[in-house]
Amino acid sequence: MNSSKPSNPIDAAQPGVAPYAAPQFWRSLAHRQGSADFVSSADREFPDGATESPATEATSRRTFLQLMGASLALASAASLPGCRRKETRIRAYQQKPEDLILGKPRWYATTLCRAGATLGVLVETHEGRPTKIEGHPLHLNSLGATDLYTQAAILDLYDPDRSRQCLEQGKPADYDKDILPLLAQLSERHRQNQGKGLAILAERDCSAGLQMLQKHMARTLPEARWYIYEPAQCGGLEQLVQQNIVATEQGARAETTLHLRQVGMPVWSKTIVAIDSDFLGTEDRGVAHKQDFAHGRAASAGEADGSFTPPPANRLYVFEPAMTLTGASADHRYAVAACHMPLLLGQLALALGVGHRNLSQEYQSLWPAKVAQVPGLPVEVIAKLAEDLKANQGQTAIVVGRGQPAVAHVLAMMINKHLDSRGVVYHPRKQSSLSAITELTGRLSKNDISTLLILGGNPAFNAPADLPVADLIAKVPVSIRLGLYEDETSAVCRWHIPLAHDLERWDVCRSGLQASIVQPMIDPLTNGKNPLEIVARLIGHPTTDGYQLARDAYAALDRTGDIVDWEKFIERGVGQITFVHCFPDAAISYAQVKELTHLDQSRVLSAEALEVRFVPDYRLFDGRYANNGWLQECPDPITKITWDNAALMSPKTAAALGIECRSVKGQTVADVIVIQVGERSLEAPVYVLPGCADWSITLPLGYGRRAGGSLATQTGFNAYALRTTSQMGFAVGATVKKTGKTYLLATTQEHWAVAAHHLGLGDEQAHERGLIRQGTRQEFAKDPAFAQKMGEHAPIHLSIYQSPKMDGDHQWGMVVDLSACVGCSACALACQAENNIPLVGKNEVIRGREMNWMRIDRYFTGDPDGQVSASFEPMMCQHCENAPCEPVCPVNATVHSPEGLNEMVYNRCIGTRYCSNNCPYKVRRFNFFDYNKGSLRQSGHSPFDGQIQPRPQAGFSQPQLLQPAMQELLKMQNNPDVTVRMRGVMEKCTYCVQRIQEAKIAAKSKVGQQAADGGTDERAAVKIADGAVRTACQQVCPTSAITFGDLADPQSKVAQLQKKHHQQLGYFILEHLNVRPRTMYLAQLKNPHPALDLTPPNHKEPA
Amino acid sequence: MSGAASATSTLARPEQDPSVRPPLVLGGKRVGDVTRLVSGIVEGKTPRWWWPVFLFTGGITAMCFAMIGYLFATGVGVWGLNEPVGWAWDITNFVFWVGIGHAGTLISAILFLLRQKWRTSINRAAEAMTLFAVMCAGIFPGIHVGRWWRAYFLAPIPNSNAIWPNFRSPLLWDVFAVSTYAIVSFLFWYVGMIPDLATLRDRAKSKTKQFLYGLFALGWRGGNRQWRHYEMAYLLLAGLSTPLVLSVHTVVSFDFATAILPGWHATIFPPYFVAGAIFSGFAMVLTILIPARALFGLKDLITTRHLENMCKVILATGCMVGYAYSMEFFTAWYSGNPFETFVFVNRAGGPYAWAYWTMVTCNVITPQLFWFKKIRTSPWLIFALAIFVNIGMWFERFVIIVTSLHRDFLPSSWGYFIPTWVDILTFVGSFGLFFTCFLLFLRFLPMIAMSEVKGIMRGHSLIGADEPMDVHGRGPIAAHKHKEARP
Repeated sequence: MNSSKPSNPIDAAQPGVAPYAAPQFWRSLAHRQGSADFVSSADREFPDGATESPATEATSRRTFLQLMGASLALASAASLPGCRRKETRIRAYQQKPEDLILGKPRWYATTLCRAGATLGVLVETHEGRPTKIEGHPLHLNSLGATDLYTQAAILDLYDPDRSRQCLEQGKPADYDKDILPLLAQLSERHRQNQGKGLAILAERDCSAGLQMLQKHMARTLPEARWYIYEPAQCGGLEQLVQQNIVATEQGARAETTLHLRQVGMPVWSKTIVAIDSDFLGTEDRGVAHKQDFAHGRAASAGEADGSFTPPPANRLYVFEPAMTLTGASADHRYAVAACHMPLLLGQLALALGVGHRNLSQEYQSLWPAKVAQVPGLPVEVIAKLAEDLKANQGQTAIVVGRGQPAVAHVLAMMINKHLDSRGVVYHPRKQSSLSAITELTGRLSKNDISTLLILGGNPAFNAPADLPVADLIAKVPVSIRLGLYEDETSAVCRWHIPLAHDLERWDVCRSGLQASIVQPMIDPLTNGKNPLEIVARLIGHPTTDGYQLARDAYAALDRTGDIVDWEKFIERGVGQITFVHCFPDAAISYAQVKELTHLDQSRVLSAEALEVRFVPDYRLFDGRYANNGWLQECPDPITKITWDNAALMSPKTAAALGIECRSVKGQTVADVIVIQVGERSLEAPVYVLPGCADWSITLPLGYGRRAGGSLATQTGFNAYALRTTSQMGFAVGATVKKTGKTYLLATTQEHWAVAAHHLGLGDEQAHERGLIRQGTRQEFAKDPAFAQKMGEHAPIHLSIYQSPKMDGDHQWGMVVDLSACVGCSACALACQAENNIPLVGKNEVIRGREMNWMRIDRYFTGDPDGQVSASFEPMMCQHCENAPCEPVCPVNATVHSPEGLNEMVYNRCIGTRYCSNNCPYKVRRFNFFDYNKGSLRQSGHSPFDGQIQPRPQAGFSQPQLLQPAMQELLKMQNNPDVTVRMRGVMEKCTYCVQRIQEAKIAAKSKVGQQAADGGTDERAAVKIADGAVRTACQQVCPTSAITFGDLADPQSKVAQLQKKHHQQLGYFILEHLNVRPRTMYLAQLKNPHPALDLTPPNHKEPA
Repeated sequence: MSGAASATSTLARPEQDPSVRPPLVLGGKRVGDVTRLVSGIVEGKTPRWWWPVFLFTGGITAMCFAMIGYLFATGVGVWGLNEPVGWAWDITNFVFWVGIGHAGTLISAILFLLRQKWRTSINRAAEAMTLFAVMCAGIFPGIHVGRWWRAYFLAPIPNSNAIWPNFRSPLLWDVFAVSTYAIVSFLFWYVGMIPDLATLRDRAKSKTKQFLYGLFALGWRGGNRQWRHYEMAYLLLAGLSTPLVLSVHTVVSFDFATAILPGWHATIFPPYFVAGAIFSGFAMVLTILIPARALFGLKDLITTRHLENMCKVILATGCMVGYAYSMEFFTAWYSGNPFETFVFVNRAGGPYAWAYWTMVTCNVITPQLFWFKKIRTSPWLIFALAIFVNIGMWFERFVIIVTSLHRDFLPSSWGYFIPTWVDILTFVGSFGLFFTCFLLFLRFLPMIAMSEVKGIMRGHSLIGADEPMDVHGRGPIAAHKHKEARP
């Protein structure tokens, strides 16, 4: 362990960080030697004489007045500087760590894990403080891109609400004095009884360290049990596992994941069918799926020069009950209720002739006669789809969502096998979440467990509603909880230990072909503990040091490839391991077919028998990110709701049930309904969303927390209350009643609701105005310039003012490819993290004051009662060459740079807001309050004024979000390269000017170095290489929809794209205003089946 | 143009002979009566109604400043502004008050140059109103900025950074236009008041009053040379003010017209704004003078004919404003520009349709009642209609600013504006300031230009020894001037 120290990058950056043993610090030599003088002076609060009265005798009146007068004078003198802004000091290093250049960030590789999916990342740290997370280009799940959860993870690290101390029954406890002896005692007890009564409940993770400890436990404590519960992964496949239908080659049970990418192979899926599966959204490996999906569709791909021909594209069919990101990207999208999916799959199987041996006849005898048609689905679709699938045999993929029943998964496996599509592979899993939690609950109710360790997760909140998990945990004699927050589960556990954030601990993760390092970027800020250490102590593992455990775990992995060495592994972050996967040989039995048919007949949905679905939320996932303000305020990509969830239903359903989601004075006022499923009921506001299947209600999970942070506890409703073990994906037979109450939803787009009979004025306008230009590949083949004919004519470039001289060496520009964009919003979060964009709170969002520099505009097309599709358009400052914001600013606060950037001078801005009024894109954001100081509460503007009553859990004090010390903690996240804006200042996208400057400095110093070495002429123009500057949004984008670079460099990708698409797909939004934007959009190309063109692209015929 | 005074025989039935103008001062007043009547308001006991009204408006003024203090301490977010709607009540109030400020100088300067003698009874009060309105207007751009403590960046102050204001910005033009207008209007008002201040000085009984009125009368003795210089100065200031009347609101309209926002970007704005300003200014003059003339018994000086004349101006400008409204629609349709068309359809039928139709009702339909002489000559009816015009003109600015902003180019950023209590109280408070200033003016300064009124009085030449108090009046000189003014 000592030998590794010098090469460990953390040590160099962080003198205080020692992952193994805390160094002893001493204040003086006297302290170190423990001299009596020092001890006594340390005990006393003040030095000698400080507490004595200044007058040796009794204070005379004269002395008193003298003293008071002097104090008064001093106090007023001291308060004079109060008239100025408060000055704060920068604390410099007393001894600068070797090879640290102040102000220059360092990057370390680590891994973030969510529900068993890993994402290798690189973390930017400034003087030992992590500020930004980027994807790890070598990690196969990332390839340099990330998702919005990863972008927001940095905020969790500094969350002032995080648990800071160990607790015993809600009262502070000491880790060294109380917890360690307890763990030692428990370890000893269970060593003696072979682990009887010991259970560990963990989340699904890919920790090699925990797997090693799990193996150790199985060996040394055979009676102990390790349960894994992951609420978002429960569904039909779980039942399938229980029925033992799918067995892998190794004999393990299997769980499905979509696997479109084959490493080292082109992406070959031509026809993809998603059945109630949001594989571009919340499913595992979302980043990789997006990359693979967009690979064949992006208009920004293709040959480097010459005229553009679109590369061969895949075709995506989506059948889903509510609009998702996947559905929005589909070429054909049909709203079908979740409970009708097995029927749909059965019909598809039938049309394809799947399962000749034992199925065909039964199908034919059972199905066509009884259920003629999938409700809501045109008859010809299945036949055409089957035709398309057959035509692309071997290059297809049928993916089924986790919430679907077992039979749907089996049918999909059979179809995939029939079509020889090996893109969908199955990772073996030993245990299912649902069986784990059910078994654990059963044992708890039998008082079979004496020691329960809960690692992360939050079963008291997210366990199935019919399992009394919380009550049972409370009865366990020794329950220990390791958690980031003092949440619902902590409340019922006897002991609570703060958990170290992923960026604060050591571990090794494994996923697919790769192992990746988890290493601390910073000393635990809130005394968090590495779960490896706690588990190791509990089960009596000989090593209890997190670092050593991670090292051992790495040593135990079956590594392959070139990097075997631990030091190299840390440096590079990833290493190869062998990969276990399988292609299950599934078959369906006659009994199941009968069951299937039976089920479908009972599933005739109506106003009295509705379907209720439970889906992970786009922002909070299963609720784990509930206290992350960035995610709470990030608009849901589809509904654009912030700070809340809502029951989603189609306009037709809402109208039939008499429910409304109205717009009152620009605010979204939702009716509150009571949803009744069996004996359970739930109150929820309704959001009417086009593109939902009729009689199907979608409830995003994760909101309505009762503990776990000041933000978590104040938003949304808890959909877990309706989710039971038998209905983890969806429940049928629900009824809905209006309560008469209404609820205010904070939406960032459409501050009015979608009416039943039309999509909303805005969406029609968006297409009429040529803002979103869309066509099919067939149209493109006929007329490559179709996009040029939409929208208004561009004028001759005329201006009475002289244009700013744009004579810089670089001319920055951007291209946004709408064919590639899937609307995931990772870019918006990345922008927030990079540019110190503050939160404003729900009330301010309702007022329309959200601060996001970058937003994803979403527009619907089609008939809300029929086929609906959605399009996304990332919108940020367009850096117009003839920027309308510039001439109107009376104080020259927004000006043009020689490199074509529209710059914002914060120091100069006085906040007239005229620039924002005159900005046609409305991308400028104004600091109506001192949002960045978090002074909302101090000024009486709580983010939740009058919205919802806080729901504090008894026994927990509500953390004070904005205590000064905690603000300091949040400040640590800020990017030091970007100004923190104050109240009254306008701000907007800068094309990440700080990154441009950084690249320039790097290029200049390189040239300078070469000149010093006698190489080149120092005065030669310093050009930044293409790709050296990447904007924050570009860097995270998994689909590479954003290209940024130097237009003055004809070889740069952005210049070539703008040139190539100049007369084809490329267009500038609102070009007719003569603003001359620098950001070009590429019209969206859809790839519909020629014979099935039921989603007409909504655009005007060329006039 | 012709003088009205000499034909005494037509006094009884002036309407029958159109070549003969009716008298401007009624009730057989003599010049001494004018002095006594007008000076008496200042010199007499404070009327019983004055104190409660003053305390009331003063309280509202205090509330205005409390709101501004709250705004300064907290941030612009205390108003209901948001992302698409960056300006709302702040700039609405600014344009509203600036518009009101137009009547005074128009009456004083343009009507003076056009020799409209009926102006003399009302010009002083109208000018004072102008000043107070411009004062109220000036507050809003000053406080609406996000960092008010840096508002001085707007001034072209030489500084070490060598950063100047942006002279391309209409907001900067505003700063110059409004401040120039305020200064010239003040000078015009003050210079016109000097002879009357001298009268008050001479009539004053207390030392303090003598000193103060004397100080501001600048040693006026009513001498020939003084009158000559005075009249030249007054004429020059009138000449200077006249283009300003047109330029101020033209420049204010540039705030909108030079922007690219549909609904703002219109060449019709300058004349349309000037007409609207005169329209609203006259309405406000009527709103103030009708009660004032009743309370102070000035019906013989501010006669029904004055009111009627002002009603005619309102009718004329109201028609111009109505024409502009319809022309905006025509332009939008004729341009074929979907953005432009949408804004106007949305204005009349969108979420702010109620504001639009309030505006049209008040500004286009209400003034049509002034076609009827009966209505034009019923002071309290005029008062009620003038209030409607005031409301309508406030809504005009609100409609232009807010409905254009709330739904502009990209539907994704459309929004809605709802005022907060701070918005409302600040606006109400500005009325407090306006009326407080006006009450002080009524109480301490001559609200009618005595010297000028005397100059247009029939029989002014009859001034004689029985008018000892009026030795510093302008009888002979006014008579001289009057003769010259004849064709």
